[in-house]
Amino acid sequence: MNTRRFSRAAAAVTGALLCSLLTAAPAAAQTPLDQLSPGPFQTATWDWDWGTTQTTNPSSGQPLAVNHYGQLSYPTDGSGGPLPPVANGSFPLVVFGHGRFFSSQFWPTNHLQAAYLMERLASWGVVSTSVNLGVVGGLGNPAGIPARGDLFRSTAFRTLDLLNQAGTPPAGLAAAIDGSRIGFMGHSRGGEGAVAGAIQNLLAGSPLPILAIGTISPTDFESYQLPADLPYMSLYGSKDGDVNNGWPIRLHDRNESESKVFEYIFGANHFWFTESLVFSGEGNADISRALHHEIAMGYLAGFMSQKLGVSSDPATVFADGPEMLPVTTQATILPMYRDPVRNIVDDFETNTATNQTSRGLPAGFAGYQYLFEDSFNQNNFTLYHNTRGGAGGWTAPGALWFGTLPNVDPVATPFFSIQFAQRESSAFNTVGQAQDVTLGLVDGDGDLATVRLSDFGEIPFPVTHPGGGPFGPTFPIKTVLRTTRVPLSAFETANPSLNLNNLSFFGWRADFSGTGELEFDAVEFTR
Amino acid sequence: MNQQLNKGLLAFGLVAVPAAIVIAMQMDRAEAQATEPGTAQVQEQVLGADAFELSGIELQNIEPFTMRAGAQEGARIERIALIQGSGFYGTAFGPFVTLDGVDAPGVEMLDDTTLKVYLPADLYGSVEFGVRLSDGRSASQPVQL
Repeated sequence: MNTRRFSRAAAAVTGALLCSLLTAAPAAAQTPLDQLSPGPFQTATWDWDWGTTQTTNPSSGQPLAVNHYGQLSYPTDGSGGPLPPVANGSFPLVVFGHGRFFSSQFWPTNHLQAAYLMERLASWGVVSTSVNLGVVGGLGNPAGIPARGDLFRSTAFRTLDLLNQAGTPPAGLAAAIDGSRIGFMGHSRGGEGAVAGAIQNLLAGSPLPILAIGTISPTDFESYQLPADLPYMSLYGSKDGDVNNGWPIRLHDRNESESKVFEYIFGANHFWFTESLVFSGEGNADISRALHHEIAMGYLAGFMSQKLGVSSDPATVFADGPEMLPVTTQATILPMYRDPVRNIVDDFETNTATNQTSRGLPAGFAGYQYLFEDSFNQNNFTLYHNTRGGAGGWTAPGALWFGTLPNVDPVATPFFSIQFAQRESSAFNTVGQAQDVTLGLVDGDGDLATVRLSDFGEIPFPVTHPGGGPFGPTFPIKTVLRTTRVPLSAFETANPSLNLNNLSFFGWRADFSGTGELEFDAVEFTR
Repeated sequence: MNQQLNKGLLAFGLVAVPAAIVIAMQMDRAEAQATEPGTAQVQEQVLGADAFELSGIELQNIEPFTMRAGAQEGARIERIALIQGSGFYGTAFGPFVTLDGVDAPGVEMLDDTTLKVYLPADLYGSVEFGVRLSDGRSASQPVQL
């Protein structure tokens, strides 16, 4: 691991620190995302038990038969009887896998720990079934992630063949499920299990039409990588006291999904995403358990509803969309958002010289104490990403980074998008103070239009949490990138002379604080 | 390329600073040589609240096999150890078992009082078995293999 450049940055501290006070633009009135509220269907549950299913012991490779049971949540007409006739073949299927909370008294019912999320999905017309993974919860090391993938797939196959399984399913349910729209979701080891199931399905020739993966605080034992055509969403709390090693960030970054979203939630922990579990090692979260649930329902039920064709909302709502205000006004939630329709300016993954963008076009900077491109996978500098990016530190206002733009189509990609983060361990940043910058676009005639980043999304100082126990004096502090999207119309408003059809340069300038250091990545125009 | 960079600087209202470009290019050359661094309130169920201790370790011979996964993938396994105690549990991680400070090839938790540990075939003599829970509590016990 090369820590030289970040060490050099840390050693370059000079000058007094200034702070900037940020004023967020008032949010426009907006209808909240549907999935933040219960949907039109009443719901019911059915506890299924299909005997055993086969998987493999990860140590010996020997076949392993485990009990196969769980709980399915489904939409009803409220009578307790058959599903509405209109429902035939119209409800997609989600399979959910819980995290590992393995002790004798708890594991047999761990599949009930996401009942709130299953119910919310069902209320919007998504049949949701939560499989018990405690049956492989005894597998400690190796972790048994592929075994979880087996259970995901077996659950999906059997649910799609419901009438041939043991037990009596609710009348009308088998016909109501649309077997062409399937999503996998999970929490912790169950989250990685969802990814494992999708990878296994791909390797088997994709017999299951899996259209999306959603996770909460997933583990990353197996270093999986989802393909470009499989959308992915992940939630992760800053006070996660179980998967506290940044794995969810790395898994997200590594996934090639053209459509992916990551939400870093200040003050959320690992186990309050469940109905009732508490882990003595992580203690209480800084936000309520009820808010954990609201966030999970809004983001994950919303994401699944979109990807499974229940909702037509654009995925961009998850990148600071005003539709999420019911939760984003209660907790700081930093989105990392990738839109499948994007025109990359600089992703810092190729052409890593600082005088070139990743597109091979000229780039430059002025006024910094240092500016370099490097890996953001450096835990000792609070960076837990699996991506490269730029890092710039300044000791006087006005430091500028700019890059030459490729051809930009303002109709196809009407938003400018960039990721920023403050590095916690940089002494150029002031503890507790947000950073702000000016964003600028220049057209071929030299017309410059600027907007202030904080009008669209600020760059907060990384959150810290007193810890103790296995975490030392604090929980591991993480510098996490945040995507901010700015409509090109805002630049046009700032300078009506700006010709959006002939853009030449983009730049960001550190105008609002005397010192600072920012990490930045994913400079692009998006839908 | 320098002409384009100067044009960019000028566009943002700055005087062209060729030196900055030179510095940037010098940094790039230096960096190219560097190695890459790597809802409603419910009754809560609390994990990790029980007393934790080790009470004994039993060795058993098993049908030999080769580890298929994990940090010691490929290791030959001929014996297991059953670690008896109380307060065992697992979250995303743990319980962690070490043999003389080295992670055991494989660990399975049978229940709250028993851990099954796969032992490397070439491990003999006095070995310190360490068990650590994911909340940081730990205990150890020597065993003659």
